[in-house]
Amino acid sequence: MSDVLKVDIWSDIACPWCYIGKRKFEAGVAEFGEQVDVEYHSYELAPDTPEEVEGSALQSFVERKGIPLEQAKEMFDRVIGVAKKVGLDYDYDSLQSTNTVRAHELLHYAKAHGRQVDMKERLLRAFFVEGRHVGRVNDLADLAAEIGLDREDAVRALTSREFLPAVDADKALAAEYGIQGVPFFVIEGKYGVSGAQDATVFTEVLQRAKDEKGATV
Amino acid sequence: MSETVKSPFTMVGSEDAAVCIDGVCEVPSAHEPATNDAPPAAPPKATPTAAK
Repeated sequence: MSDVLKVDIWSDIACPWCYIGKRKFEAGVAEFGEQVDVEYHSYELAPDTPEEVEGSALQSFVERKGIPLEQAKEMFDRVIGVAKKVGLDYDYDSLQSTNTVRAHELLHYAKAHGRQVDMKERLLRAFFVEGRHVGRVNDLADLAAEIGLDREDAVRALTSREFLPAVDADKALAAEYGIQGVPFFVIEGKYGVSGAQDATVFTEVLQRAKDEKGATV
Repeated sequence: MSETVKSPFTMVGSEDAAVCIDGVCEVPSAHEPATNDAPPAAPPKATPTAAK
């Protein structure tokens, strides 16, 4: 039996707290002091979102919520401020909203090539920091190539929808587990952590899981 | 409305941690006390010609 703890993470790309939670989780793991085996699972917060979305994220939010522009800007600023505290420079002015299903397919493609964690980071950074589009096949293939994956093979996999069943399987599992929001972390298949918790929460639950695992070996 | 499923996991951590649900991401009181709303995960408005 492996001594490395397994952490399953359900999250989306278009999810500000997922990226912030990722940083907090990473800080928790660093404090824990040992490697963990991370596997990302697909969760679509807004599956009805089209690939191409008109207008800025702020504009869309104002129209959707029916609130004043200034109030919406304050809300965005709050999230930007929290992100900055964990070292992330969110750029909502450049953000390109899109459907994320193909990005999830790319994450499964990357997993099949042993690069899922790197792909996840690349996608989140592209979306929230760099204003890159993460819905189109060619844009996604560019990002895949940027972490060293075969661009043309990524295009093939995304075009053929090879990994769509894997995305659907993750979503079905999330429903089976009662996961209603993301990020959602599962440690050793036993402990659940919902949301962008403080790093200490992750450190403590990892240590607890490790202690229990040691007691049963 | 979907039926609530009981989690099979032992939940740990704060119950009001920041989380995104159904395309909307809350700002919990631990971060900001003024509101429960935050930028959407992905706005639903589409261009008329958008294709999936």
